[in-house]
Amino acid sequence: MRCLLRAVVRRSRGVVSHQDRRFEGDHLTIGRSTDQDLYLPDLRVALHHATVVAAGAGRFVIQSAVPSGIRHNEEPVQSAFLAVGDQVGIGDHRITVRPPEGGHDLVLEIAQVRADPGQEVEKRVASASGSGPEKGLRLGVRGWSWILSMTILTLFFVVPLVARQSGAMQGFLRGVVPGVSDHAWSTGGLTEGHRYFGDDCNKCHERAFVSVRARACAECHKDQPHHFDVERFKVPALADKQCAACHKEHGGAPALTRQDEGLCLDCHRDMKETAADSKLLDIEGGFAEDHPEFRATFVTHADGKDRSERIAMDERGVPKERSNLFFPHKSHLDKTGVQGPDGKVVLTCASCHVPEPGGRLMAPIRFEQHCHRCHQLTFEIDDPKREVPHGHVGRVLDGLEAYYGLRTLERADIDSGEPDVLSRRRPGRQATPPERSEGLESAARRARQAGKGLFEYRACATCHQVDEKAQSVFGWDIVPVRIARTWYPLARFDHGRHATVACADCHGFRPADCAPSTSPPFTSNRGVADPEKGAADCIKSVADSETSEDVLITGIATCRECHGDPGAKDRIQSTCISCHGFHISPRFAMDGRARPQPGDLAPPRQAAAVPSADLTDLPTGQAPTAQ
Amino acid sequence: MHESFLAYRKFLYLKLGVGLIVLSIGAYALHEPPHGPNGGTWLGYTLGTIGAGLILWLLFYGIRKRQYHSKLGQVSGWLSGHVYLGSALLVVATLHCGFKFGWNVHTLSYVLMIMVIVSGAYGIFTYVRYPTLLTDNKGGMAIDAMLSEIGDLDRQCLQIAAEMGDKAHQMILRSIERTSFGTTSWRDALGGVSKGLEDLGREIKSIAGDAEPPAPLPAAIPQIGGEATVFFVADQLAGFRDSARAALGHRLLDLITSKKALVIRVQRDIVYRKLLKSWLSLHLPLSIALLAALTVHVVTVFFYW
Repeated sequence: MRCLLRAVVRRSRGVVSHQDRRFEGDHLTIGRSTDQDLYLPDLRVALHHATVVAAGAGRFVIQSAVPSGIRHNEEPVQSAFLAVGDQVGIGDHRITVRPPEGGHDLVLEIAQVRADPGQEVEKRVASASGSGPEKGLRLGVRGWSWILSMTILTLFFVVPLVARQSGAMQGFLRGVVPGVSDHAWSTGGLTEGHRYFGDDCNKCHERAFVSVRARACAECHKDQPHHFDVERFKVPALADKQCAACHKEHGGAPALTRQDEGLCLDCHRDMKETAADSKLLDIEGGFAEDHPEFRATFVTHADGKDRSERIAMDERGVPKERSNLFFPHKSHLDKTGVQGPDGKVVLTCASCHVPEPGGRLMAPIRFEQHCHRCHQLTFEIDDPKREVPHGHVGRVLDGLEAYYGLRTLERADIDSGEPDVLSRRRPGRQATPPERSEGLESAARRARQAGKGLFEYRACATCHQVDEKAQSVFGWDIVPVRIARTWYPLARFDHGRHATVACADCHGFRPADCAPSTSPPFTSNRGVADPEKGAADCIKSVADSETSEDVLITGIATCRECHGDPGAKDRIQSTCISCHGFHISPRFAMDGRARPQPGDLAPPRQAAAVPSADLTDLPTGQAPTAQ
Repeated sequence: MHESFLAYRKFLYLKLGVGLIVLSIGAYALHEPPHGPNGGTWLGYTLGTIGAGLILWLLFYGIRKRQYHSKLGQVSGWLSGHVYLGSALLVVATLHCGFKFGWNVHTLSYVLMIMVIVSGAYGIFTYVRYPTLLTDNKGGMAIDAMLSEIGDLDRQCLQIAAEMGDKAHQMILRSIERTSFGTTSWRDALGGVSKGLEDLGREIKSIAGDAEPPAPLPAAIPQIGGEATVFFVADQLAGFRDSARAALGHRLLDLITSKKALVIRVQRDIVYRKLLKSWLSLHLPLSIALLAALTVHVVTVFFYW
């Protein structure tokens, strides 16, 4: 190898001069010993410190001969290939590889750079403690701050915002990387019913920075009932309310409805203030103490007029319900049983009262199903299987006339006492018109006779109030049965959820001579007076009720045995919403429009209606629907 | 007399912070919103506004402490408030969200805030602990002086080693080259004084190896002092019959021992200084990230109102 060794000599006043020396040989030795090819007079250099050898193809390798090694471009190494521009540090000398020149394979520039080992130590300390120049591409505090904050702004704000401009991009982000779509803005899970469209935030959040409008809710909840008759009452607190004012989404909770008492009490605490001409009572506070006594809704008959009224259950001698039906529970619930066609049967409540599908209310009692087995509508003693149809006076009489007409023609009524006009004709001769009309008149007389028996003495009159002076063509009429489908139509009572409670725990009646208890919580439904607990309540068992006029339901005291205020430790925590609904107006929707009315298919029975003067405009006998 | 920033004006800010916490918890306990506590109730908005205001004020501390001519009170007062009100923020923000968390940008803000507060708390710990350790470690001596003394000792060692022969000289050279003051993040985390087992293993091998010169090592081992060198010199001493050379050896050993003590001190100094600073390199970027997340949180809450 042909090598040029160029020593850089610093003279005074910064003048720099070079001393060139040529070297030819197999290897170039470097050290502090005078026999070295490159002599470095520094105590920090070993006698023989390193060797440079040719590695072929014009490349050279420097190899350290001592364990302390050399510094190749400031990296401590034992050996390294030399390239133009490389710096090799040995002791306080720096050897720089220069481009080959003048026929030399290798040009090394040797300079003494460090005079003081202490200085070098200081430099190392400075770089170790971070106050020196930055090593490589390390990010400082400022860099990390920028990167973190810009990443957050971009991923969670800019990207979702830009995606809003394009439906496809928004759909892609929401579907594939919801974390950087507007899904990342969602504060919590949706309620069950809203999940199926919940992926699309804009279904509800139509415009930026505008809270969810009722219009968006009305896409689905178009005819959501209002709270009251908006034509009669003006309640400013409820005017122009957005759904979102009460219904909070993204709570993750199952209930979207407000459960707190404030929902109701804010207005119902002072009804005079809320709606001056409402007849609803003020509610001072929670159910356990401040709810007024229940008011049952039923038809009364005072001053010769039927009237639907709400009567508080604590009033002395609760008026009789005008049901127009004769049904003594007492005789039907006789413990020894009642006489049926197949012998004695012991009846229970469940023999007749079965829940509706869904289990909330009890299914209506039907004659054919519940009464007919014992109460058969027979009318002809020698035809004991023949019965009249139930439920329609006209059809009964038509049926009777047809029946007796036929019997006359068949000459079956030999023993009826009626003249047998048709038997006088010769065989093979048609009956003459006078004979036929005489026969029909005879049949009509028979029919009327049977009808009188049915309507005035037997089958119908057993259970029904029969109007004998009716102006109808038939001469009789059945006074419509008015049984309250529910006595408390403004509350929501679910029989299914009270399946573990015995019927008698809630159903009983207060005889006319019964004084109300002064301490409602101690009411005993079974008529058992408890002298320990103040005034006895004399509510009697359904099995003691001798007339269907008895209102067979108890008041608030019964409910309070199990239900208490929110926070109650020994009761079911109940708020207004546990029993009452908000959206209960059958006529008006939340936006003030009239609601479509259900077709007036003949209701199975007529029942008492909540008096319209009591604020509400509830439909006949129907309990308010749950929201 | 010196007053710690923690005790600024008889714990004024501690009292304020505790007051804020008590007020927040009291309001939270009394408040019974219809849909359960969350950021969207009136109390939620109130606590959220207080929290956001606090965060901005806490961030402004970073600006205030650089304004040397500010008339907005002493920096130590600001720091005191920064510490106590920043801690109170933990309660305010938690009650603001009503313990409702999810995989969303809102909880991201919360998590960042927790990280900022925790890193800040670690910062207080370092401020209380390390300055004393630093002073004790230096023992009245300036680091510059220690470094120049290390340089002197190195020079003296080399001189003696050169007189003792090339092998000794090489050994001392290696020792000097390997006297490293670098600390890695790993060492920071462990307090900078623990020594990797791997390093120790290599060291032992190098000492035990009979090969001469000692087996070259792939890279400089950050070591405290230079046990290998000490062992080597001790080994040499055992073989010296020449009393002059033995005296040289003793002298070399003394020098190395003094150097080792100094290097340990410098090393500790570096570690303490790094620990004093390192929490900030978490605290600051996280604070700025929190500002970004908070902005996104506030804007998006009202964006999809």
